Amino acid sequence: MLNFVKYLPLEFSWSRNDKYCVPKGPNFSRAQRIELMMAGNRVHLKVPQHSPSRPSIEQARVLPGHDILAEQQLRDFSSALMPNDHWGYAIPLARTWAFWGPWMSGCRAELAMGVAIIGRQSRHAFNDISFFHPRAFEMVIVQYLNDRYGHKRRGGANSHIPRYHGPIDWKVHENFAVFNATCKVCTRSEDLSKLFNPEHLFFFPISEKYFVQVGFVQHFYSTNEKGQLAFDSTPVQALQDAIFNSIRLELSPENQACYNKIKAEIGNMELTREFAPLKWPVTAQESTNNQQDSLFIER
Amino acid sequence: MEQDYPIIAGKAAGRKVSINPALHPAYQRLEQAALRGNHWASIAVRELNALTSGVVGKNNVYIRPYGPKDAAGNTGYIVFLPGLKATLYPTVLGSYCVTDLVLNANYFEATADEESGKRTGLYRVIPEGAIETWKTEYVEDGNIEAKNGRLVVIADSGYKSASNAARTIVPRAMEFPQVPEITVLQEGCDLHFTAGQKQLGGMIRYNPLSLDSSRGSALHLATTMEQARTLKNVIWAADQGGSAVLTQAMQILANKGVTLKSHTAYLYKPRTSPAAALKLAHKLELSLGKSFANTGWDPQGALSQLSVAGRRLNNSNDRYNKAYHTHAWINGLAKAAGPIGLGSGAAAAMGVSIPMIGGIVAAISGGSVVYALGQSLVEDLRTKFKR
Repeated sequence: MLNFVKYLPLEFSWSRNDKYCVPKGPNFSRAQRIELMMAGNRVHLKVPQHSPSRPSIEQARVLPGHDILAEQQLRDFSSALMPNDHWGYAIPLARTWAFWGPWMSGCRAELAMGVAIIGRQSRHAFNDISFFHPRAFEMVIVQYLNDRYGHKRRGGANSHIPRYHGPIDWKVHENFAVFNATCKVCTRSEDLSKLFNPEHLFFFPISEKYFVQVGFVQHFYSTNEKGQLAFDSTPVQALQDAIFNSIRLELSPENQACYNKIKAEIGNMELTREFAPLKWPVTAQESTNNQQDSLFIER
Repeated sequence: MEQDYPIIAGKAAGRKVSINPALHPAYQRLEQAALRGNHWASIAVRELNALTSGVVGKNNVYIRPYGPKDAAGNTGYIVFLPGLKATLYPTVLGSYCVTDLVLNANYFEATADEESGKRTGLYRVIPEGAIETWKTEYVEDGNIEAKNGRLVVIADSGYKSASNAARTIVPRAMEFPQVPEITVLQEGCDLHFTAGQKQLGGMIRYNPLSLDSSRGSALHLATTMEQARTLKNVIWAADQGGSAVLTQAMQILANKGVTLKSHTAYLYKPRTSPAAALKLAHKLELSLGKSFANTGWDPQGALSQLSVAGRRLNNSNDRYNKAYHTHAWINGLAKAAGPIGLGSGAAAAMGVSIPMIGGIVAAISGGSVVYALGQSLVEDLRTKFKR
């Protein structure tokens, strides 16, 4: 009861401050189990209710029991985000959770999470490539990251400087239905000295044509005069880890058969354990040329 | 003694601008940032150099008189620029001395508050989709995306970060009149963000031109607007206290004589006077839709809007007409009615006699409105209520 009153999600100009504290976010133990259907595959995960810092911040949620890939076409990525229209996406779930300081001292942090199904648009499909092949999947991820982040540059006189840097902290995880990996993509400061605002990405394939990206972004709002964080950010990371650890994949029988077939052929179903940061920015030529180029794997 | 002060501008000609030696290193940092190619540092240095032509006639949005006049009739000045605030005092022979320079050092560094997302300036808002609905990227040179019909949202201060502001404001900005919702969903928009703890404006600080905390940001926005003047149909939409920044920026442009033909502006729940913004919008030759500001249930806003109705009716760039005037007038009166003491809004609109309404309107607005009102009442009320 005291905690309920102490951590009310309120903020007034007279009560807000940046005193050091441990902010409180949503209660994970009370979170719902959610099942997302994606072309027959099921992704199970446990996520709290949407509770953003301001009510107009939107969530996305496909109707429970509804298969998001049943009739829906993949949406094109915004032209401001990707230089080409080769990729499409669908969002079954996106939520934001705010972390509040005590006694109405204000919102200290926010964790945003999005589950996205990503695939090639049919007119740009990779022919004769299965996402269930680890080497092919690595290539797909390279291509996706290049299209998504690699072409972004700084503006004005600094157009030779990339805006993003990644992937870093590449890590493969055991105990999951298919091979998978997590990594981070960071914003890079103009003088290249600092990396910040990492996007935590988790990739795994769900069929021969689609893969899932679970993305997390942590927004930290409260800093002291020296520019250091004025709160303990572990609750944010803890919620992210708890959600991440609750993700479970159940492949549809056809996809499972398909996966097993490739497994029988090549034996080693593992992604590379080392993944060096990509060379960004990619030139305009690179980003348009190597489309649907299945020879790219051999390179 | 002041002759020994380092001179930062006007060595060869014009009025000398010297600086307190203690502040000189800070100024040198600013100059170095300008040499490195920092857009905003060069603007700041240019504006400080412009003081060599004196400050007469520069009592404008970002150069403000400050302190009492001396015997020669000179006063001190404060110069508000993006990322810095300088105080100048007149010295002998009409030269000026910078006695105080508050530099937000981070602002001109390369990393520059971008990490915390609290840097004042222009951001691209991109419909990201895969993780969050809207993603922001800082724009170094402050140019909006070179597309006709681009939406630029001017945010209030008081948001936690530019990203937080974008995710909060852009969903409702898509529903403003004249905003092409689908285009914004596909291509995104631009956001002008002002860092600060508190919201701008409010019932007491209702005059946008007297607010100090938004002046630097306004100069930043004015630069952005001026650079965008070759584009067509740009929509400048201010959300809440963003109206203060937009009004001040329009004042800077009006002083410079810049016009923004075919651009339009809109205020959503402005926390400063929409009337002040409207006068400047007409000066900049903006094309305005029928609804220029949504003041919600704010009686101050409704009164302020009614007070410029006559001006709007007479302007040819303005879509405001008599039919809409009646509509807005009844709505506005209904909202203003409570504080004036007329009882419920419905009673005011339906049952009050015309001379009485005329009296109220005359009390709150210019004569042309009464005339227009008479006209529109004859035209509209008869058909609407007595049919």
